[in-house]
Amino acid sequence: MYEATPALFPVIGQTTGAEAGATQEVSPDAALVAAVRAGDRDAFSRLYDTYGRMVHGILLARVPYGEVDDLAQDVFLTAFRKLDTLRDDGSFGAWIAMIARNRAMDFHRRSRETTEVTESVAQTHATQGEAMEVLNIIKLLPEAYREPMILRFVEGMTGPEIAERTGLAPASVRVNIHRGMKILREKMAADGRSV
Amino acid sequence: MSDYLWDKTGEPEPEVERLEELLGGLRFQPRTFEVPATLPFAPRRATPARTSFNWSRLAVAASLIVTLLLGAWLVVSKRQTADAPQFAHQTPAPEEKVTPRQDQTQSQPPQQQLAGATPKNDVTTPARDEKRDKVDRVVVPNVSRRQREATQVAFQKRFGARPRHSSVRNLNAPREEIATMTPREKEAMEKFMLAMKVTSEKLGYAERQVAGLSRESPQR
Repeated sequence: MYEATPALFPVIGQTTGAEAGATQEVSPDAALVAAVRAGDRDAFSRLYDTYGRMVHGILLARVPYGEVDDLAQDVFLTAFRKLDTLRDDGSFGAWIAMIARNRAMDFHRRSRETTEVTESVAQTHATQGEAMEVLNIIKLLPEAYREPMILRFVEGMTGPEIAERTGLAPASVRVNIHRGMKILREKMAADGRSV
Repeated sequence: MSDYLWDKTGEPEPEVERLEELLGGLRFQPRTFEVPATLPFAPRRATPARTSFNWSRLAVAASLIVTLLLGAWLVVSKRQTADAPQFAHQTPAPEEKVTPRQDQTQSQPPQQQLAGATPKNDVTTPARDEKRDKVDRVVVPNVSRRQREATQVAFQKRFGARPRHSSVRNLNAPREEIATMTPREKEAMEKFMLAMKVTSEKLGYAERQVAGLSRESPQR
């Protein structure tokens, strides 16, 4: 099956006896969010470890590569500050994914005046060669395909994992990955490349 | 189509593997995330305690109501059954005959006011003035004014206020029914009404106490 998240297992493993049954009904994310709300800052570090790849991939699908790391930090900081507004603790993944998408939109809104700087940053990372070229082709895909493709190929997440973390329907993710792959093949072929 | 693209099961597709290797170099590199030292919101531990606090007080008030009502009902029903056979042989005390219209009844011979008698000028008969009937009070035998005053003083000492009604009124019973009631029944009814009023005052006192405690510990 898809990759597990070892960072979450200690949360369940800490419970004993009768508590184990009750804890299993609560998702690991919800337990971590509850712990953060109770004042456990380490629990948020575990949420960062769990959702770092997803947030990175969502941002990478929308903003230049060189900006992603800083924006990811901003996203987690925003999530930490606004955690009290999260209604369903088990929906932390979908919630922070939305924060990341909004942060990317906000980045483009604010960076219109600094386009030249952004492009220069992108050019410095163009030295990574072929990987950046393929990434730029993926960024030309429709938005619905772009995000799951990057999460699948760049972040190494499986389809079920993408669906679980982002809160999207598995069937939709599956269709978007396969259609995105098909379009990517066509675009690369038209560009004279082979996958 | 192979499942490898979806969930990395089955036989790997060469082009998918190549894309994974190529783009894997751009993967997320975890940095140390500095979690702010202070929480930007208050920890949520007070919520369950606040809920249980209100429910416990509500439960105490409800159990008090039920206990008092049940006790009053038991006392009244027990007295009615115990006193009924002895009634025919008892003569009411002189003070028991006091009514607001005592001036009309004072001239009557005492035999007419004995138990079971139906005097012509009985103050509780329907032939009386209707307007005055509305404000008439039924004074029940064997509950002297001194006893009522003692009860009121005790009540005032206990709860810091006098009962709202210093005497018992005939509330809803039809006047014909009152006229046919025996003195023991009237006594029982008055005691019952008195018990109900005491219960009501106690409940009001408990309610004020709970409201006062709630104000002393304001909730978030």
